[in-house]
Amino acid sequence: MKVALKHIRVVVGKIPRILRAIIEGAITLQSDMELIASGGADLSATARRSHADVVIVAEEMYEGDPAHRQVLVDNPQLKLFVVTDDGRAAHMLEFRRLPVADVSPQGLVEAIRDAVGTGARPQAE
Amino acid sequence: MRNGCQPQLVRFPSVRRCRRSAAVHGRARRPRIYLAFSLARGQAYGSTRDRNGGPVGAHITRHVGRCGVHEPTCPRHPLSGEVGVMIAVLIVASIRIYRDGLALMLAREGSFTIAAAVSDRAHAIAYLTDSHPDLVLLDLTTPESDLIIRDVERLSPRAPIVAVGVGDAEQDMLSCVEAGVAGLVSRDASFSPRFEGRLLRRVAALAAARDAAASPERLTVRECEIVRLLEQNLSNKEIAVRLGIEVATVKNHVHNLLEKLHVQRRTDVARRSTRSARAMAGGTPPDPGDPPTF
Repeated sequence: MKVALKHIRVVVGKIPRILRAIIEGAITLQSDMELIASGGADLSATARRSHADVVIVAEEMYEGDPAHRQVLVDNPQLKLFVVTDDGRAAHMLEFRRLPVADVSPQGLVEAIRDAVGTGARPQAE
Repeated sequence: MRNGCQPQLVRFPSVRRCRRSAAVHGRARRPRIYLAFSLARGQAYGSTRDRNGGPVGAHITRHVGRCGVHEPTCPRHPLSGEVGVMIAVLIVASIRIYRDGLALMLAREGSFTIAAAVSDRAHAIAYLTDSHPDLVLLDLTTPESDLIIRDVERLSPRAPIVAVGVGDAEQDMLSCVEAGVAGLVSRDASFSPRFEGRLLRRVAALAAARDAAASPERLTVRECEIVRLLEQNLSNKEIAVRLGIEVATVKNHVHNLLEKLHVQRRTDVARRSTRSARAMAGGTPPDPGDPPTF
């Protein structure tokens, strides 16, 4: 049984020109991806209007551009890929809403442990 | 620049046509190609078939008058985008996304074939020892990129080097040109038209200087004699006495030397003129019209 490929809509943010051309070239070669927009200023609005699945941006040494983070807050369904300006590294960010069932001091503490993934509980003194 | 020729910006399909014409006309000598990549005014230039091509598109600067095959003489002069001779490119880039990405972009361009894509100087030397690409694309963030430029000039002197990732400062770009790079691609900046003009003139001047140094037969016997005497800091009058010719004749020869060697001062003449040039000129007929004085 054939599984239909999900059509992935990609927006590319402001990235150094050569790197941007390389990334765009790689995306346009894929049959299951579509380059929606590139190099635009208002990433958040562009991503929202175009119903993008993925946004790719560049940062110098992962500075943590607030504008990039805002894109995720405004569009929580997005996956944000951050590439360093020099092309040496990349990582993905996503906005995850994890409900905290027990909004109490202890509930928050437990949620923190779960989010970090330690799973450990300190021994009761 | 020789003969008042101006460097011209030509799209690279013309390179293919000129090389093809070289084969048609049976010229043994390959055309000398001087490449100038640029991200002029924020626009990307590709081939005539891809006007919206990526930033690694090429303007080819060819010094008309030096090239063995000229655009006007080529029977297939109009740019028609025909598929012809491919340009074999060696890519040297330590960062994988650039190495693989540039290879992908150039391969898609249709005018290029990727001879090799290597990550460091050792692999570049290994390749260049046995093979000769038509062009070298060098990412300047590659370690020892300055040494790689020298390696290319030593092992594959006919291959122009295009540097990618040049700093945005004009001096950085000019330094690349001084080092022997024929073309530049900045990672992001667009060049001002004024700087582009300066760069083209500088490339042309470097090309002329290289030709002067590489053409030992251009100095006559008499000119070589005068160069030797200039090295001794002799005046025109002293040179005239030493050689038994008129002072005016010496001045003419010095003037010719300044032009041939592309220098401004007589003190630079000896420095520019290579030993091989003077040795080779031993077989060149002496200048006519050097009347001796009695």
